[in-house]
Amino acid sequence: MRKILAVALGILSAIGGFVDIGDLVFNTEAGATFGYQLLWAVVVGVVGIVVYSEMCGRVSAVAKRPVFDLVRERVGFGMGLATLIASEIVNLMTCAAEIGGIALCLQLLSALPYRLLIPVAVLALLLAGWVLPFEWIERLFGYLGLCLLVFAVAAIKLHPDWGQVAHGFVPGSHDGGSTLVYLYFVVGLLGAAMTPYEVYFYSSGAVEDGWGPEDLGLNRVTAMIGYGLGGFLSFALMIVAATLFLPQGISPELLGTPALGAAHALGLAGLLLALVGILFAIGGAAIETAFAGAYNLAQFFGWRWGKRKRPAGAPRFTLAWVVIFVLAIAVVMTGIDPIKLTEYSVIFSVVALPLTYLPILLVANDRAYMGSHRNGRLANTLGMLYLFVILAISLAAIPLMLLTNGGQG
Amino acid sequence: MIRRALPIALALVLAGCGSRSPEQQAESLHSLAAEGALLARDAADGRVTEPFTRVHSTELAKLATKLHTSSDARIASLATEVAADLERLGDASHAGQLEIARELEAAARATDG
Repeated sequence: MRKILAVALGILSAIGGFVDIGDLVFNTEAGATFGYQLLWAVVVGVVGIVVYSEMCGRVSAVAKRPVFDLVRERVGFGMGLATLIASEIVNLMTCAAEIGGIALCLQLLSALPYRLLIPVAVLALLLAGWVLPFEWIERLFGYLGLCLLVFAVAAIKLHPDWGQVAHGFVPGSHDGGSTLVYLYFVVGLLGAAMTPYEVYFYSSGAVEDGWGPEDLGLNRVTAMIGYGLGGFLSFALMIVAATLFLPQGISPELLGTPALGAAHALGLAGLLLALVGILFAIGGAAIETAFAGAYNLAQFFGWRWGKRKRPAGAPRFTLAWVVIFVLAIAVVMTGIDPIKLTEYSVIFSVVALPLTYLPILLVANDRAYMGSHRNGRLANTLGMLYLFVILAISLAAIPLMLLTNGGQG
Repeated sequence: MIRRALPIALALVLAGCGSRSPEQQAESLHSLAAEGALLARDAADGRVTEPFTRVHSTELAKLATKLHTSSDARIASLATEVAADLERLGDASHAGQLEIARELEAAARATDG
């Protein structure tokens, strides 16, 4: 019974923790531009993150070592360093975007000045990261992030054409925008769903939680159901935008726009639940990106690491995540628009995706590390398929961003 | 290799960073006016909080202000009106919110023509 409860709690926090600012921005913009026609891209992205998270969790549970530690050992110093640098740049950009998003969200709740709320947001995150135990961080932000389910209720309340919604799950020809912009959103949606920090955090979390081979079932269930259901939040955001914003010609450019969709459908309660959900979903993502950055550094250089250790027990690891927050605040305080920064961070994370996912596939398939738990035929087929997809979108990401002026045509 | 790649990269950058056409500016202005009208109606119906209305309308007004400098005189003039309406929305009474909603809806329609 206790085990079932633990699984249920893990799944709930995975659902609430699935959406970050990249998902909010790209799903809403895609829905407002192409209606339901890009729902299939969310499915592709969610299956991708499920496949690779399951591999990461399995590697951590079997080898009892996090993925980045093994990546350096398996692919060598040079390739490992390239992966580290790319992931740290993307982590920093994503963390800065999430912090900007938190400040915007607090501003929408309080009307206080944005620049004042940036340090307030970072202080709150530092406090949460310092004081709360690992599982409480996951649960606090994951559970309150579940307020985003308000978008699922709003989507139903707005009475979309369910036939058209179903049609959106089948890739095909599109209308309502240029092919380049359509492809840009495909790349953005895949990138937002498969952000590298998610797998690094997941794998380090598995080591922190002391997973062993007996937890492989838990790993599979958490990855499949948690991320799978988390994908429903992405569908809901896109359906709300497609039903409410597209017919009125509204192209969302602000973080308040998705919340306005929930308010329009459900009134004041809808607005408040949406803002609280956004606040905690991106707050959790900000902590995850900072920790993922610190995990990667510590695991690459062989420092002592772990949130379960007291800060003095893992000083360089602790210093690393604090420094990532400090650098992120410096980026946001330049005045850069967090929504634009989100778009850049998602697109640059797409460019770095092969560096993240290729080594994971190699390690998960290595009998020396994994023994009898190495990838089976299904995991290998899906892993290879996604690697080709990742390679294609990583090559196309920046040209598409430039050619479409960031999806604006 | 680099000699070949550079002009391509430059062309891509120029294509991406070029100024927006009047048609694109009209679409942007339509979007801002329509979203402002939706916000104003929701504010009048009590569906959004006062801080949300004030902050979101101010942000929309800032985006509309960027279109003041449009080379198309009609868009520039409409952008000025839309920005002014959005700036008023944060402190408007219930009747004022409904009036602003009507004006922004008219502005959104005007951008279509």
